[in-house]
Amino acid sequence: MVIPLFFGITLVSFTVIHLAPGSPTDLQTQMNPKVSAEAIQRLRSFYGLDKPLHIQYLIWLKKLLKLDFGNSFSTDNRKVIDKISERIPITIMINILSLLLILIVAIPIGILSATHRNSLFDKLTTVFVFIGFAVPTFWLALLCMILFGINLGWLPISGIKSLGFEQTSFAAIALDRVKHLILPVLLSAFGGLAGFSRYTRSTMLEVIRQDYIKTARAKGLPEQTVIYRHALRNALLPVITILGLSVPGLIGGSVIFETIFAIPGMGQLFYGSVMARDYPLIMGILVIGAFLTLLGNILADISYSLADPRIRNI
Amino acid sequence: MMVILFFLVSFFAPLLAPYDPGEINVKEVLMPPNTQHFMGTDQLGRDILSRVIWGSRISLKVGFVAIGISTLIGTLLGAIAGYYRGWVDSIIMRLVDVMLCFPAFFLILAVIALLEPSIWNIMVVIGVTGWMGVARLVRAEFLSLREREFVLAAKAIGSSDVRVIFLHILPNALAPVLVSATLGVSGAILTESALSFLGIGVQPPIPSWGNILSAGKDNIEIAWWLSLYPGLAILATVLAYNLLGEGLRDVLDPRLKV
Repeated sequence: MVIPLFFGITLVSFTVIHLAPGSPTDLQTQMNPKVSAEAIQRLRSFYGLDKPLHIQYLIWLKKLLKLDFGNSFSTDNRKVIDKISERIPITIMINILSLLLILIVAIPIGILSATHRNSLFDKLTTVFVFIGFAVPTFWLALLCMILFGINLGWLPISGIKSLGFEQTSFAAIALDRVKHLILPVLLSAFGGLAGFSRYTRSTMLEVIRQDYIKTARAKGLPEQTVIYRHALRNALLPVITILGLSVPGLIGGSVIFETIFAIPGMGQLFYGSVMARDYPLIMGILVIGAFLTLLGNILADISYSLADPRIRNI
Repeated sequence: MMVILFFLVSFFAPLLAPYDPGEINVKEVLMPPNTQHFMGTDQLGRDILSRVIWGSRISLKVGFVAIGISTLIGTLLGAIAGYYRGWVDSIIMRLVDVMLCFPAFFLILAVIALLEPSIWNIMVVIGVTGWMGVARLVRAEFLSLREREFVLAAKAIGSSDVRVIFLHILPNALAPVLVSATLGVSGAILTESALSFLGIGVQPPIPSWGNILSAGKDNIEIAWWLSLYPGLAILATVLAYNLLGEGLRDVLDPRLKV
C-alpha cells in the first residue's frame, strides 16, 4: 500500500523537476560564449542528461534510496541532504507543538460545544470558527507581530533565540526559547484549531445520538462518565484520521511562518531555494515533504487501528 | 444563512464598480497615515484604498479561474473513475492519493519557481493542485448514481457512454460540486494572497492583497496600515464565500429533501 505511493511521489516529483525550461547545465554554459559545443556535450553526459528520460528517472531513484539528493546549486555547494537535515528538527518540533496545541485546545472546545449545543458558548465558538477559516494566517501573523512585538514589546519577532543568551542560566534560556516560539506555534495552530473543534463537535454530536449513550444514561451513570468515557472515545476515532490528514497543511504552512518569523527551519530553506532557483534543493525538500506527509498518514492509520478494537483483529 | 447570501452578492458587485484608476499612481506623498487617503499610502505614495479595490479584481479573477480549472479536471477525472470503475478507477484514485501526499503549498511553490510567476501560471498551478477533492466527490456521486434506473433506461435506448455521462448523470451529481467550488474559491483566494505575500505571486506594480501585505511586512515598524487593510479585505471576501458555500450546502443537501 505504501510502495506504490512511494513510486508515485517520486514519479510526480521527477515530472515536476523536468518542467523547468532549459537544462540544469544551462547555468554553467549559457552565459559563457566561449564554451564550445563539445564541452557542453561533455557536461551533459557527465550529468547523465543525454540518456533517455526513463533511464534518468531510474538513476535518480537509485540515488534517492541512498539519500543522495545531489549538491545544492547555491554558492556553498554542499550536499542537499546535509542542508535539509540541519533544518528538519526545528520544523518538526514546531509542527509537533502546534499539533499538541490544537489537540489540547480544540478537543475540549468541540466537546463542550456539542454537549451545550446552541448555548451562547456554542454560538460564539461557531462564529469564531467561521472567522478562523477565513483569516489569512500570515496576515494574522503580521498583526500579532505588530501588536505583541512592537507596540507591547512582549515578544521577540524573529528567530528562535536571542543573541548572547548561551551564557545565562538554563531557566533564562528556556524562557527565551518559549518567548520566541509562542507566536509561530500559536499561529501555525490557529487554522487547525477552527477546523478541529468544528469536526470534534460534529462527531460528538453524532455519537451522542447513538443508542448506547441512551443505555448508559438509562443505567444511571453520571453525565460526566457518559460523555468522557463512552461518547468521547468513539468520537475521537475519526479525529485521529483527520490529524494525520492535517500534516501536509502544517508542513506547507511552515513555509510562511518560518519566513515571516525568520525561523531557520525547512520551510524557510524551501523558500530560499525557490527564490534562488536552486533546483536540487527544491526537489529534495519536495520529496522529503511528501514523505513526511506519508509518514503522518501511516501514523494516523496505525493509531486508528490501535484505538479502535474493531479493526485491530484484521 | 440565506441572508448571508445577499451579503456576498453585495460584496461582489461594488468591488467591481468603483474603480479609481487614476489614483493609483499618485506618487507625490510618501507615507502619511489616514487623512484624505482613507487607508494611507504605501512606500511609493500610492493610495492604498484604490490598490485594495483593484486588488479585489485580481483575487477574484485568480480565484474563479483557478477553481474553474480544478473543478473541470476534478469533475472529468471523478466522472470517468466513478463511471467506468475497474482499473481506470484504481489508477485515478492512486493518482489522487499521490497528489494528496504533497503539501500543496510546497508543490505550488516549486512549480511556480520552475516557471515564472505570472498571473496565468498561478491560476493554472492552483487549479492543477486542487482538483483532488472535487474528483473524490464526483466519483462518489457517480458510483451511486450509475445504478439508478434512469441510467439503465438511457443505456437501453442505446445512448453512448459519453452521452450518458454528460447529459444524464453529471447534472445530478453537480450539487456537491457547486458547494465545493464555492468553498474552493475562498481557498484559492487565500492561496493566491499567500503566494503574492511571499513574492512569488502577482508581481508589483499590479496590486494584489498579498503583495500589499508583503510591503507591510517590510515596513512593519512604521506603517501598520499597510498590514491591516488588505488583510481585512481578504478576510471579508473569504468569509463571504465561505458563508455562501455553507448556505448552498444547506440548501442543496439531499438529506433535507423529504
